[in-house]
Amino acid sequence: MCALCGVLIDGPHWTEAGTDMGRSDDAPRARARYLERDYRISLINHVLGHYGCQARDWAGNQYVVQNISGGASAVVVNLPQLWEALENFTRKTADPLDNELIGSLERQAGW
Amino acid sequence: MAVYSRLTPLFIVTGFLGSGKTTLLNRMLRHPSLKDAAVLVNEFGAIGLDHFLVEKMDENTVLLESGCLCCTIRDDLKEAIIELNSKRERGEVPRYRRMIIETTGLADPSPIIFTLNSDTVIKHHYRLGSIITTVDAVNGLKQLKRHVESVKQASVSDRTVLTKTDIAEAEDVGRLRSKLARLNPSAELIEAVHGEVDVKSLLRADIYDPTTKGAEVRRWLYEEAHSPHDHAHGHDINRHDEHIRTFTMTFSDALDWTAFGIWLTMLLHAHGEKVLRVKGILNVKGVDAPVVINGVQHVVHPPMHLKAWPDRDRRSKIVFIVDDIEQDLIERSLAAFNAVADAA
Repeated sequence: MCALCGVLIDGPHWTEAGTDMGRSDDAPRARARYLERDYRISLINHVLGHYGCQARDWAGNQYVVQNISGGASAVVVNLPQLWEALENFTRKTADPLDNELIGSLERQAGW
Repeated sequence: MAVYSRLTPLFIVTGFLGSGKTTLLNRMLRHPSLKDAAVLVNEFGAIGLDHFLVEKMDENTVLLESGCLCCTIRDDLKEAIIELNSKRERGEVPRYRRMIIETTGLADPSPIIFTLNSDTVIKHHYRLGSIITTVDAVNGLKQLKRHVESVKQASVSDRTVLTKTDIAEAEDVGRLRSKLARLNPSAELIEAVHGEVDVKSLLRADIYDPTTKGAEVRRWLYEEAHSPHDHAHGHDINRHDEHIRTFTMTFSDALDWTAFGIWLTMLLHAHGEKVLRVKGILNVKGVDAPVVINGVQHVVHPPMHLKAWPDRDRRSKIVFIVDDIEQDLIERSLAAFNAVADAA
C-alpha cells in the first residue's frame, strides 16, 4: 500500500488486489488476473520506454525491469519497487508530472 | 481471511495541542454506544479518562530505511493493539467491539494510518473507522497557519470537531469553518456546543463499514459540492497558507483502472510527501459500480467498490490536498496516462 515501502507490506499491492483487498467477490479470478497483469505491463512499458527501459513478467508475480541500452536488470514485486529500479537505472526521478514524460505519452496516444 | 464486516473498527482522535481531544474523548466514552470501546492513549493526561479499558502506549517509532517519514512504523501502537487483541482473545479484558486511539497533539497522523494498514495481525482483526480531528476555534486559524501537523490532522479528517466555539469570536469561528471547508471539503464539520457534541454523528457511518460506506460517500460528495471553494476554476489557494492547495478533478469519461493505478503509484512515489490527501470516487471502465480511493501521503487504503452510485452523477471526482503542486499539471498527467490506455 505504501508507494515507497510496498515490500514491507504483506499481501498484494493495492493496484493488483482488486477492490476491498480481495475480500469481496469481485476480486479478479486467476485468468483475469493474468490478463490484467499483461495489460498492466504493456501500459508500464509506454512509460518505461520514455526512459529507455522495459518490463516483463516473471512467474506471474514479479516484474523484471531492464535498461535496454545498458543491459542492467532488476527483479521487483510491485509498482513502487519498479519506480525505484527505474530511478536506479536512469539516475532520474520517476516523475509523472515531468513535462517531457507527459509529452511522450501524449504523442504515443496520438494526440 | 477474516470476514470484513466482523473486523473491529479503529477510530482515531487527533488534534493539535490543547484543542480538546481528551475532553471530547471523555464525552464520547460516556455515550452508551461506546461502553464497549477500548481506548489507547499516548499519555494519561491531567483529565483522567473514566472508562473500563484504557491502555497507554509509549512513543516508540521505527524509521524505515526509505527515510519516508509518513511510512514510519509506530511500534508502540502496533504492540499495544496486538497485546489488547491477545488479552481479548484470552478473555483477560472485556470483549470490546471498537477501539479508539488518541494521538498526541503534535502527532503526524500518517504513520498511525500506515501502521494500521501494514501489520498482518492488525489487518486481520481490525479495520479503520473514521478519523476525528478536534480544532480549537480560538487558536485554530493560527495553528493551521504555523504548524504543518495541524494542517495534516485537518487534511486526513473525516469528522472535524470545532471546540471552544462558546469562547471564540463568532467571526473567527466563521473564518475557521470556511478555511477548514476549503482545506478538506469532504470532512463533516461538527460544532461542540459548550463542550457537548452529538456522539452519534461522530460514529454513525464510516467509509470502511460495508453497511454504511455508500451513505458516507454520499455525505462527503455533498459536503464537497457545498464547500466554499471556487467551482468555476475548480481549485482554491488557501489564503493562510499559499502552499497548500485543495482542488477537485472531475472526469466525464470512465477511467482505466490499470492506468490509474500506475499513475497514482508513480505520483505518490515522486511526490507522496506533498500529497496530503487524495480521495475520490471513480467511474472505472467496464465496471458498473464506482470505486472509492483514499490515500494519505504515500499510503493508499485498499480501494473499495460501492454496490451502487450514490446519485445520478456518474463522473469520477478526485479531491486532492497538496503542498505546492499545480492542479493543471496533475490533470494533464493523469489524462496522458489514461489516453495511452485508450489508444492501447
